[in-house]
Amino acid sequence: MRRLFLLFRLGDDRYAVAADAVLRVLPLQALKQLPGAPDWVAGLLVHRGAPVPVIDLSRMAIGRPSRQLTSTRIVLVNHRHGGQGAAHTLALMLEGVTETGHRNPADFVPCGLDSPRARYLGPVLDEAEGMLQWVDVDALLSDEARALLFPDAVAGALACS
Amino acid sequence: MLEQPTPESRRNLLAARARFDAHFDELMAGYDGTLHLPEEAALAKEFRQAAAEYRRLRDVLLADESLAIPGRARAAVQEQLLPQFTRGSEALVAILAVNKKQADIATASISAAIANAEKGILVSLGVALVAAFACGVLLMRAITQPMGSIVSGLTQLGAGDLTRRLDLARKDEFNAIQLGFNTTADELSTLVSRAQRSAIQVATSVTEIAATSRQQQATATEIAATTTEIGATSREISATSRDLVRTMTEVSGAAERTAELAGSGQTGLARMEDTMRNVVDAAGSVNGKLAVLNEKAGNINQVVTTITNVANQTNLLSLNAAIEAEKAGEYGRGFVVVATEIRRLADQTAVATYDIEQIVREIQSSVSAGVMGMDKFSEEVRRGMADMQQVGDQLSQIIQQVQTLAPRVQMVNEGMGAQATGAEQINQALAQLSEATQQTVESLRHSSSAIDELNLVANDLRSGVSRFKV
Repeated sequence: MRRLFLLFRLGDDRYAVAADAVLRVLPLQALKQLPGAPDWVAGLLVHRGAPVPVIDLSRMAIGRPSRQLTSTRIVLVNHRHGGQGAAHTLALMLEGVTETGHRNPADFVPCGLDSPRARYLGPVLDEAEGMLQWVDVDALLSDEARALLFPDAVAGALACS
Repeated sequence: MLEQPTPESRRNLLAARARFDAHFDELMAGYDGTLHLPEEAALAKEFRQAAAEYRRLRDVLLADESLAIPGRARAAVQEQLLPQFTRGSEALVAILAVNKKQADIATASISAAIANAEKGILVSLGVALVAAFACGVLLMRAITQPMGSIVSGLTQLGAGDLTRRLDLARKDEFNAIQLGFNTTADELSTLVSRAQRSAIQVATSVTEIAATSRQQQATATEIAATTTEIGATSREISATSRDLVRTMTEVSGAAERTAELAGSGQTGLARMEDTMRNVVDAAGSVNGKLAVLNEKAGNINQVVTTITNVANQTNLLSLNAAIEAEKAGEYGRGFVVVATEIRRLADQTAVATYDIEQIVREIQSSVSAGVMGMDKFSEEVRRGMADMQQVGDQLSQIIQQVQTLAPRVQMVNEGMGAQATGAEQINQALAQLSEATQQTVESLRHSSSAIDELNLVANDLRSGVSRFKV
């Protein structure tokens, strides 16, 4: 069963997110800055009347801000923390977002590394253009980041438990 | 002889007869002068007659007619000539006897006279002896006394006492002697006292001369030392002058080289100025070209931006379309393929235009930087030109200065050379002077020793004349 993936780049490497988690791909635009926020928070945008925090994945993953290029785009995703609970809309600033592609999820193999600081890095697929790694959107945020970005959801979760 | 007559022996004999006759006549004439007694005169007359007769007979016999007959001649000799010769001899003997008797008488009278004379001489001798003794005693009294006082006076005079005078109270020759002695003693006294004074003066003067000579010697030695020092200094001056001449020559050469270098530098600067002017012009034109290029790049950029925007939006649209179609499930599957194709075209366009855009941006920024750089470059070139003109002026001044320097250096050089030569001449003159001074010192040493000897002599003289009492 093939699935559609949205491909992007972190540095020189190729990555992919599942298309069903993607709400919309937006061009790069001016963002409202959030003073005092961590540097991997690129700013704030408004989508359909609701503010959405934008995460600079390059900054978070490889330590340098995303380049201001046309191929650098903002991707709105549905984020469900840990794959459970309420879904939030999250914006990711990604480089090299110009392509979608169908892949068989069964072809992906685990990379054999479980870094606690990057749990969003999933299995890998060997391709002619280089390795393609699956990025899990739901595992993207750490607990502290989630508490910072979605304080209401965290409070609600605590109240439920 | 008669038995062997030859014409030659005969002639000789005849010549001898004539000579004998002449001699006989001469003797007879001398004898006639001594005739005093009548007896002797008669005898002499007789002898002369006999001699005359003999001569007559002989002459007859020796005539040639007689000799022609040898027998008759021999008979004539026996009978006539020999008796006549005998008569003459007898007359001669008689004369001799008379003369003998006369001589005896004269001898006796001489002996008597001598005896009388002896007696007279003895008497006279005795009288003379007595008279001589008396006269001697008188003379003794008259001469010995004054002689004694003269001798004692002379002895005192000889001992150095020049105060002694004679007073003999005589009016004879002794008076003259006394006068002479006293005058001589006065003169000597005056002379000796003058000599004593002179000796003291001589000794003083000699001492002064000795002191002066020593001073002169010291001075001459000092002069010699000073001359040597001056000579050393002069040699140093000479050496320094030579060094200076060399240095000045080097300086002169360096100055000439500097002038040449400055000249070539000036020429180079003039060329460089031209070049820089060209560079400034070129920079201006490059700037103009760059401005044009910038404008063109801006035009390209606008087009590219438009294309890029279109491609970008197409790409974005296709992405979203694909995602939406995927979400539509089976119904949207075909649309995903279309969206993917659209996106591929858009991507190709976008990649191409993206590259162009990037290049154009780079070109534009490079052009801007180039324009700014060219402006700055032109400004710096202008500043450099101004600096260069200043440097050129300074180089002209340097050349002028150096050119005025060269003849001065030459003058200094000549002066130094003359100085060196002069110092050498001074040195030579000093060497001569030194030699002369050495000679002077040597002669002063000689004169000093001579003065010492003179001093000794003067002292001798003083002690010699001080012996005299005046």
